[in-house]
Amino acid sequence: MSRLLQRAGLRFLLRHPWQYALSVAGVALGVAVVLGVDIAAGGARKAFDASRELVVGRATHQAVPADPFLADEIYTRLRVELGVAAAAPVLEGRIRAGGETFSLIGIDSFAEGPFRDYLDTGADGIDLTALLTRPGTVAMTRQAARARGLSVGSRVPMDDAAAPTALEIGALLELDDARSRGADGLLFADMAAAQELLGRVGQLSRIDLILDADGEQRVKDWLPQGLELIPTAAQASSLDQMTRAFRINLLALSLLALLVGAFLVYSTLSFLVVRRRTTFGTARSLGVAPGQLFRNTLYEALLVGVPGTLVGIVLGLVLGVGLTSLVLRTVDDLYFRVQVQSAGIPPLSLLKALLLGLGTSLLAAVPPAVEAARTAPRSMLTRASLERRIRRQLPWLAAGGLALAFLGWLLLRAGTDSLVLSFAGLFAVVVAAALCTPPGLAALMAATERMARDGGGQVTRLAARGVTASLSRTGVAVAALTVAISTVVGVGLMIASFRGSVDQWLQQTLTSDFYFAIDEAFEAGGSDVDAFVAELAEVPGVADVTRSQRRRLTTGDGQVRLWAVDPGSRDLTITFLEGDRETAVASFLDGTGVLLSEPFARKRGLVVGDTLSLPTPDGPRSWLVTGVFIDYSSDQGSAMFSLEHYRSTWNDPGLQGIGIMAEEGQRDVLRPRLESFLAAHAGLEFAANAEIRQISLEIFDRTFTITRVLQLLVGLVAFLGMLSALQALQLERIRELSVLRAVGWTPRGLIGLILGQTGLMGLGAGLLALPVGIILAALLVFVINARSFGWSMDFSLEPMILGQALLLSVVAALLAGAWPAWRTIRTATAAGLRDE
Amino acid sequence: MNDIHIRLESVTKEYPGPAGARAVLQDVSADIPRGQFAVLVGRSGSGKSTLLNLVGCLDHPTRGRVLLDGQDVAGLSETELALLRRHRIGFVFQFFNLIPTLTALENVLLPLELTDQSGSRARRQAADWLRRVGLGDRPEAFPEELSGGEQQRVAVARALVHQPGLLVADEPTGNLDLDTAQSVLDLMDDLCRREGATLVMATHSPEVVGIADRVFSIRDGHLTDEPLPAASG
Ligand SMILES: Nc1ncnc2c1ncn2[C@@H]1O[C@H](COP(=O)(O)OP(=O)(O)OP(=O)(O)O)[C@@H](O)[C@H]1O
Ligand SMILES: [Mg+2]
Repeated sequence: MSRLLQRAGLRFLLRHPWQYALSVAGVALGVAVVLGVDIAAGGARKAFDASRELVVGRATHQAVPADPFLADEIYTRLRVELGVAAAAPVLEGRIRAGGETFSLIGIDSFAEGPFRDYLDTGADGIDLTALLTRPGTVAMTRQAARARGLSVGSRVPMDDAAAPTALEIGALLELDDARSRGADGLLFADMAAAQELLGRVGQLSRIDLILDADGEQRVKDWLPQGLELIPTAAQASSLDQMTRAFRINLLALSLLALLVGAFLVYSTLSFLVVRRRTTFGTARSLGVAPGQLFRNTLYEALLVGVPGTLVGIVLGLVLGVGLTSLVLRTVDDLYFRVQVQSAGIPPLSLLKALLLGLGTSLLAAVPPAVEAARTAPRSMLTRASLERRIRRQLPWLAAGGLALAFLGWLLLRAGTDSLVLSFAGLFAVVVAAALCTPPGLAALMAATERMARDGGGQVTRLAARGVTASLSRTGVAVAALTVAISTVVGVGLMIASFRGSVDQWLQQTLTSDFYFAIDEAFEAGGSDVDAFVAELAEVPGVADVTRSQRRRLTTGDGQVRLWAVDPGSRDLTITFLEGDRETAVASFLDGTGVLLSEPFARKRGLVVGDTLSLPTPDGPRSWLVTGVFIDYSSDQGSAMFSLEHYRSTWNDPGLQGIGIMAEEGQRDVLRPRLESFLAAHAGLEFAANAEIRQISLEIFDRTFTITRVLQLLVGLVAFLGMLSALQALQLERIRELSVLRAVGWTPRGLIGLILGQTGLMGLGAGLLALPVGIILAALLVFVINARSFGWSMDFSLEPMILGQALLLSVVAALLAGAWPAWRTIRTATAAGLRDE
Repeated sequence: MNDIHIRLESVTKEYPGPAGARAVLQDVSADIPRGQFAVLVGRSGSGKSTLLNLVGCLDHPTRGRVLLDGQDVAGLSETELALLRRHRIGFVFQFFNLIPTLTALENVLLPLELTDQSGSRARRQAADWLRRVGLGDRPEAFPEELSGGEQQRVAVARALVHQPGLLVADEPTGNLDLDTAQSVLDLMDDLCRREGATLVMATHSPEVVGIADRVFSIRDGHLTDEPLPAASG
């Protein structure tokens, strides 16, 4: 490669510092978003893995009961009768202390050795298990203690439990940083102490085991009915599946940002190439070979890509910290309890970001590089003929766009089971829209010109013609803006549809006036749930009481959420998607059938008429699926039984929720009466209908915060693209505009012309983006969301969102045009005329 | 030697236009032997630059053949053409001759670098040529900092620096005063006489016509061997 040509290229970039900076910023933002999301997703996963590893330890199997708990005498028998040495009892539960909810894990000091080695010795090398035998004494990690200002001997007041009024920190665990991140919300206690704290004397959650194939068979044969032996590996993968859709969705959005960033590189480099056609022509006439110009353009792409990627990595690290906490919060809201600080930076993520940034820059440079290589020596080709060529290519662009859209459609059809294929299809549609933008823009401008001719708008006509006359530049600018605005519309409509559906569902489902939520501390405090319900029913002003229990059942293929409901004297407040309501309700009441939530049915491919088999204390049992209902409470879905049937099947007398319907006009007087119960019982939370709806929608909005942040970033990158392309356009036209000034145009006239033009482009982008955005939203609502989470929802075409998008498009374009306009009139006419 | 023999056989060149193809050159034939100084005259728009582009292998004829040393240019690949131009042809164009982001000296260095001559010897050689065209004191100037005539002189230095066998010049003295024009002309004539290079030049100026070996004139797409009185004004 010619060193002089390299130098010439670098100087050209430096002579257009804004152009250069914008494209570097485009790459940087794209890379930053991808890296940030990668770090966040990886962090969430690592945090989760770490906390799982801490809890599960080295167990290969777990013996879990179909009942909520198993008697600890089974553990003793397992050891004694069967002689299994590597077995450890575990009791898990939640506990509130110091204003915080912890996961309390009860363990047997003597059995722990092979499972969780970090419990062997404490921070100071003391045998910590011994320390824990005192009642009310717990251990936490040194890092968690430091973060809360605690040390050995500190006492943490319990918020609402019965027996001891405070927890004492008996020991600190010494863990490396990675593991301690997963253990932030964990407390360990000796089994007896834990049973007492949780009100579960004589009970265990499960038994951890280390078994070989032979041992596995023996334990399986021995286990009493109602207990299942489950390999821990199977659980891990089902938990991984749980968050997979969530992670893929984030990844797709981040890749979209990179795509728009690549667009920016493409637009800048093609500007650089078009603008230097005479230079390249001269070089070619001096004997520079086409290949040299090609390589030269790729080299210039690296001049953009290398700093862009490096800056992007730095930004990405910062963004990663913010996104990680957003992701963790969402995971915490939706999936499982994580209490972790952000995890470190995986070197693999950095490498990925580096390769992605450089690769994308180089790839985006290929079309302009080909264009550069094809420059004829001392080309006689004028700008006008370049534009003529572009206009001749318009039908091909449109055809290519349609073909790509078709490909996208095929991918979406083929990808019924594959989220990756579905997103590939979605991307194809986005790129197709970008390809169709220049022809669409040309058509729109032709229509504008016709309208202006009939209406006599001279400046509008000139402006519209100007847009068409430099379609090679305006096409790119408008395509960038179209992609961005359609993403804004698509994601916006999707969220609005989703939120609307959730809100409607909440209204239909939450029919009681007040709710009590009950947690473990309730029974631990010695209260009896059924007596409490009876007491409530007697309160004056109470018309009706509903009860519900939720529980996760560990099965061979992942966890199943059971939802047991007693609707009281009212009808079931669920909306059926499938199944005949009457038969479904009848089978629900008599226990012959099970009702499935939509995500559950979709994920397991179950329809009305199929059977669902679940473990029970009396061995596995099957139910006929008689109905599928709408439910947005979890994307894992749940299986619904009547409370009565659930209690008799799973021997679980617990309740998690109580709904109270007030008598006509009694709502306001009832509230203080109900609130008085809060003081009398531990482990109660109280809320009115409206508050629950409020909280639910808040969680919903929080879930989509990250989506909105990413959407904003994509929009920002696209805005940079628009700015860069418009600036390129104005730079190219400085000579032309200077001539206009030389023949007597006023600066105001020029500003009007430039802004008129950019405004028209913004309007064009907005108009093209609306149908594309609606298509994207429909794909997100009906295809992606359905496949990711198993939810179907009503599509709502919010006119507000469409209007805002159109406005945004025009304002962004005007903003992007303002600076070049200002620059143009600031450039001295003589200097402008001299410009090549 | 390095010199080149040019032959045009029934060359027609058409440009596409809004109203169909328009022939600028029609069935033109010519033969310029090695070492000859040929001058091309004709009214503005008659097709001088078009013909020079064909001679310099920058463009292909619509019909007919262009032969350099007996070889049909149409038979050469893009890379072969690039190598041919790199090593054996020098150009001075009518407009926009220089790479705007390279200094005067770097512009002159470019043909040397392309033929793998670099280092201090190449720099001395380039500086020497800049001095010969009267710009020895402005090596670091960028094209936009030079006047039209100065730019043209840098282009002349660049065209001559690698001692091409064929020099194609499109009104190289158009922007120059009489004295400067004469010295630039002398430089080119010198190359032609001493090194035996072939020189094809389009011009309006009568001084040039005076020292040429041969004068072609273009009119209505046809090439004749005698100058037209109208062209020498
Ligand atoms: N790329 C092109 N496309 C269309 N027509 C062209 C093109 N290049 C030149 N022409 C036309 O061909 C004719 C000859 O042009 P050319 O540049 O060869 O003239 P010229 O003799 O060099 O004129 P001048 O003395 O003004 O430089 C002109 O009428 C010009 O308009
Ligand atoms: Mg000419």
